[in-house]
Amino acid sequence: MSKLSIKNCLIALLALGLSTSVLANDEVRKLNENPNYWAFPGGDYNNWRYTELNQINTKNASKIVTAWTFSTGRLQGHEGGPLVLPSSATGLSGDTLYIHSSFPNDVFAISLDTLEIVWYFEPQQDEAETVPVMCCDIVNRGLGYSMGQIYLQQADTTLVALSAKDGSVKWKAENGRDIGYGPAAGDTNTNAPHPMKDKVITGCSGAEFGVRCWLAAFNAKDGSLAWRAFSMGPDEDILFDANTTSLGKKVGKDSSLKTWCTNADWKAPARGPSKCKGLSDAWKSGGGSTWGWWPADFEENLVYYGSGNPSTWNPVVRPGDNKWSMTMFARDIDTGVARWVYQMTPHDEWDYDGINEMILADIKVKGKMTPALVHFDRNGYGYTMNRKTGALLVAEKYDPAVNWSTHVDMKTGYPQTLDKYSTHHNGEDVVSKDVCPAALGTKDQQPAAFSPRTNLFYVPTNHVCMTYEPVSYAAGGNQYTAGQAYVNANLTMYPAGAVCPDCPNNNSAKDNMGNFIAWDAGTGKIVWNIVEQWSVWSGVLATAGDVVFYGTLDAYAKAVDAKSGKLLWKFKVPSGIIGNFNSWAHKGKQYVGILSGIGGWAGAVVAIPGLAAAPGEAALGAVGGYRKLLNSSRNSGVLMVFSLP
Amino acid sequence: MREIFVAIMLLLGSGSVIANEYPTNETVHFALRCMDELGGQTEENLYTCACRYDAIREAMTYSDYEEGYTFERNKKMPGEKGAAFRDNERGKRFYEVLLKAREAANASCIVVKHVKMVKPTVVEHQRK
Repeated sequence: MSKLSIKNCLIALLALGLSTSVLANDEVRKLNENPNYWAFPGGDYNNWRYTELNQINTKNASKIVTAWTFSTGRLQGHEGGPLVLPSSATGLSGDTLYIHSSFPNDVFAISLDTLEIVWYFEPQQDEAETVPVMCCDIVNRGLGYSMGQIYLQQADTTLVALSAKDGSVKWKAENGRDIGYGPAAGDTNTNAPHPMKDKVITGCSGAEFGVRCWLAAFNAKDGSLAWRAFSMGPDEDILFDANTTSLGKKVGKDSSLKTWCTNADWKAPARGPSKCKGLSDAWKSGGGSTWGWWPADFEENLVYYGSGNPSTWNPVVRPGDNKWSMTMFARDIDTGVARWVYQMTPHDEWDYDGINEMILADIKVKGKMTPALVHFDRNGYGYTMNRKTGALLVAEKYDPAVNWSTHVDMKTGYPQTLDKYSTHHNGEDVVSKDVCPAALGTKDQQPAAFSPRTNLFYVPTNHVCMTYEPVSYAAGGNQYTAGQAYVNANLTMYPAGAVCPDCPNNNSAKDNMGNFIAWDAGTGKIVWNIVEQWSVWSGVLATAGDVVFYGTLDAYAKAVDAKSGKLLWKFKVPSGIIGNFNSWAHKGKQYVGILSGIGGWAGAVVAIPGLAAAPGEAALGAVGGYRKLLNSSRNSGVLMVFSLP
Repeated sequence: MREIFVAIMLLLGSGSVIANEYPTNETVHFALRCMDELGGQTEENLYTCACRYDAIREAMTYSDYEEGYTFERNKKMPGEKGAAFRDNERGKRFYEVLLKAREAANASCIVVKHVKMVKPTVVEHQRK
């Protein structure tokens, strides 16, 4: 294998980090520089999902074979991907891979030398309390690492630090129950913990249950809470100060409270700033969940993330912009105070959550080198911001089918919504038709990748439209009750070709539901496009070999040419792919790993000779049956690991 | 019994000449899944399953089968991801074709029976 170069910008970042203070996780940043390992969910703190490894390249990718597999023994959807760490980090001999499962969130440490399980951790969670209040499958998006510890954000909102060496519990922290939330109030977790400096950043799910969500930082040393910043509420709850800006302007006092109105005559859609006649306290059950993938800019000491939909899905009952739901946040890593914010979808009427990953890259934007933040929002716009100032530079549709608004006003930042697609304007118990994208967005959480070699972003997308009917209380909508679903909308979804028959990214039958695109964030244009029958729901990997990996719901792992999108390789894995591709090297060989497993198994479980355990037993996680499971491949979540022969 | 066996041998024989593009991976998976449904990996179940497999391959191309099967596996997928399947007319169409092909295959392929073992009678010998 060739010697691997370190990117200049990473050296710069590191130098700055060393000069400011001795940071607890300088170690993680160093590990991120070494492409043999994968130490942070996004591959590095820019969230590039890019590896400098180039052993697999466009010439030999067609020869990729399966190197090894590991079954988690758990059914249901498997998102996220593995971490790979050296002995210097773990205290174990040789390199170790760490992988998680869907609920109940088992954690496995696998020796890459022997392919044996070194330890595993089986959290004890109350299934009856937790699983019924998880809105969207019982997924977990993986693990974090720093200071010799592996972090797991359990579904039941407990954050756990495990010894990377032996899996023993170092500390546990409550991320919700401590303030009266937790599963009993419909509050759960699906996000990966993101270690930054001496903190572990974690989020919140439960907007469909009216949870007022937050981003929280726990001290990695002992699990004590460093700060918690809510998505909506008074300034002391959302950690805004006099210097917090939006599009360069100070947001002022009570910027969130002022946007939850009582007046029924408040006019939707929100095409510009508006005022409330009276203020409501609907923000108390306001949603704004946080379950994405978060990068950090250590030069600015900022962490970036997005907040989700305001609750409920019936917009009529919550007039106003509903700030700061659907918002990009840049917060100080140490204090949590917001430097800048930008609300992408004021007064959401479609469930266009803003939680999707933020990617940091220094790229040319309209000809000028820019410290950019790039974000592909559920609402169908690809945003390019100046990550230091929060200035809005580009907002363009990354699927031509997107129709709910014509464009984003670059001065005010407000999308220009058409009345006919405004579900609030059309009214409660009225079906708004042919809204594109559908509620699942032009893209959901599945993270995109960036290659500094092509300067392109590789984006997995949905090509789906919907009908949307907000349900009134009179017609049977639920009033807010803690721990009860608080959705109040009926939806149907269908291929975007039905609404946009002339869209260039339709297949010939005009019924494809996905596309895989290469995006130029400097100009806001699609460079190439691969039509996929199903929504593309996998995290992407870009490599220095100019190969881009992604997976499909019909269970293909694919490798394409980063420059042209030409298909180089595909392989049928046991189940559909909603996990993320990661890459590492062991003993001079490059590996690419992906979790296969979407749950919803139909028919009988594949019979593998010598395996007696029934799926029911596996679900119970009986320790006795476990050993047997671990030695066999079965129809559960499977980590597939590929390499050259 | 002999007639059944001969018929299945004929079907198996014909299987090798059916033009299809089903990959080996799916062939093995199908056989394992099908035998599991019938109660385990026995020679008899293999005959039945090979017959069903041939019938399905005659009824649909692999790409149609794949779409129908993808829909079947994911139609109950919860949450937003599931939306790609719940209202998907095309997937539903291929799924219905698959269900019909499966039904026809099950009807045309006899479940090969085998003599079941019971516990032998234990003769107790008196020991002195």
